[in-house]
Amino acid sequence: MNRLTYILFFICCAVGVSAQQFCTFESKALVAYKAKNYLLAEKYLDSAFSTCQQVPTDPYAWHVKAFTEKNIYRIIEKQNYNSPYREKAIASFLKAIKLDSANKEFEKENRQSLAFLGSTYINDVAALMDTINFNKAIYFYKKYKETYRLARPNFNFNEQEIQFNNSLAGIYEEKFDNNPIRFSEYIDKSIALYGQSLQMDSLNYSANYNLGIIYHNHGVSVIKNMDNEISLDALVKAQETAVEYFTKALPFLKKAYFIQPDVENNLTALAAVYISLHDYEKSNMYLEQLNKLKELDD
Amino acid sequence: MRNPNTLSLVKAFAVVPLLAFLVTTPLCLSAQSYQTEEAKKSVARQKGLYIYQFLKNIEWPKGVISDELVVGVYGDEYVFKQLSTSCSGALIGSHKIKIVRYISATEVTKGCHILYVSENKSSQVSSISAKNGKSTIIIGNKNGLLSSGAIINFIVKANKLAFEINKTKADIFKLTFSQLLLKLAVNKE
Repeated sequence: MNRLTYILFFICCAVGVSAQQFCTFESKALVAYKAKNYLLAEKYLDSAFSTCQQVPTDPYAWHVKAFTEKNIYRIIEKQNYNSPYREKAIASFLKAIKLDSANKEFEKENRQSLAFLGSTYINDVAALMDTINFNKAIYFYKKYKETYRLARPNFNFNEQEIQFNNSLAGIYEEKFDNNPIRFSEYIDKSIALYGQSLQMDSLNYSANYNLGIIYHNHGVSVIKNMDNEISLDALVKAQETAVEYFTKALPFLKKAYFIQPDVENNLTALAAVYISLHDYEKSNMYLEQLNKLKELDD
Repeated sequence: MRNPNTLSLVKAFAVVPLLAFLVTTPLCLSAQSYQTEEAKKSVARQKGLYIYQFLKNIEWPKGVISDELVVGVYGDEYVFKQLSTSCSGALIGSHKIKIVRYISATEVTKGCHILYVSENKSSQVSSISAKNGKSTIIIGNKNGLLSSGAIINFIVKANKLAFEINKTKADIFKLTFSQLLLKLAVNKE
């Protein structure tokens, strides 16, 4: 009996020492954080999380951990897109929000920071949006939406979605233009993306204009790529195919012109399509408008 | 131990609309005239390819062409360039194609076997036809030119380039058109 009492006493003392140890780590972490020594703060927090049973269920501890990781990502790692700290911080903020769901003591700050971290993905999207890195840009755009949606569940992404679609469609178009045979599928991807943008906003200028240009260029390519020895009937058929593309281009370019009547590119594009359709009267009409516009600009 | 004010040191960053970085500007922003130039070249290419096919599908009476087959272009630089690029030096039977550009109607000699006249020079068709007689097949480019001396005439039908043939005159010239050419011609006078 005496022996058992002794063991219990020993266990209680050990737990007490352990708890005291945790408190030391936590307060040390806060001091380091205040001193902007985020790496040291992280080290103490790791010790606190592994030493004390209460810490992993404490919303405040996760809140501090999340801010520490966020600042390591933001300041020390200078928002490097490969930094693991952004994802660590996001996970910590989500945990903090979950554990804080009853009291909502840090809800506002947690969500603001989560939204901030989500928005940093967009910087990476912009930086990586080129013909080589576009897959990474797609990945980061998904991460942006995932994270931002968690921070702002009612946020409407339409505007961002349209901008992203149009940017990616432009990259796909560039990729196709670089090597139309090797990258032939990219032009269809580009058309699909502009189409998605127009489903969200039928009056989106960029999608209308670029889609019109794609179709017109498609038609021109059909003519350009005809073999010099093409037979007479194949020539007639190819011409029909080209005219189908020119006809498809028209409504998009007309809409682009309707949206921005004073943009010279719209008038040039419409004049070009009407030349391709052998309608020189209409082509001249747009060219005259273009000249008037240029005179006004001068 | 808990210090709730600690994080007041750290202000959460306001979310900036960073998507502004993703500027979506229209593509093909090179020279304004680029697209109209490309369209004109594309139309010229179609005409050039048609003219080349006409050469392949027309049989001249024996002795009319001695050596080179001279194809003249009067008034359309794009068509001239197209023909020069795509079929200059090519052979039609044993005759080498020679592309010649004429700046004025008076330059068009009887040595020109087939002459393309651009739309803006259409008023010259009848005088060239009268001057050159059976020596030169004229390809016109405007509605109604078959009655002014053109034997083949480009017209636009349903936004597509098409051609018509003055068969009566072709017979007088003793020209033989292939069945395919006659089939694809939209009008045959």
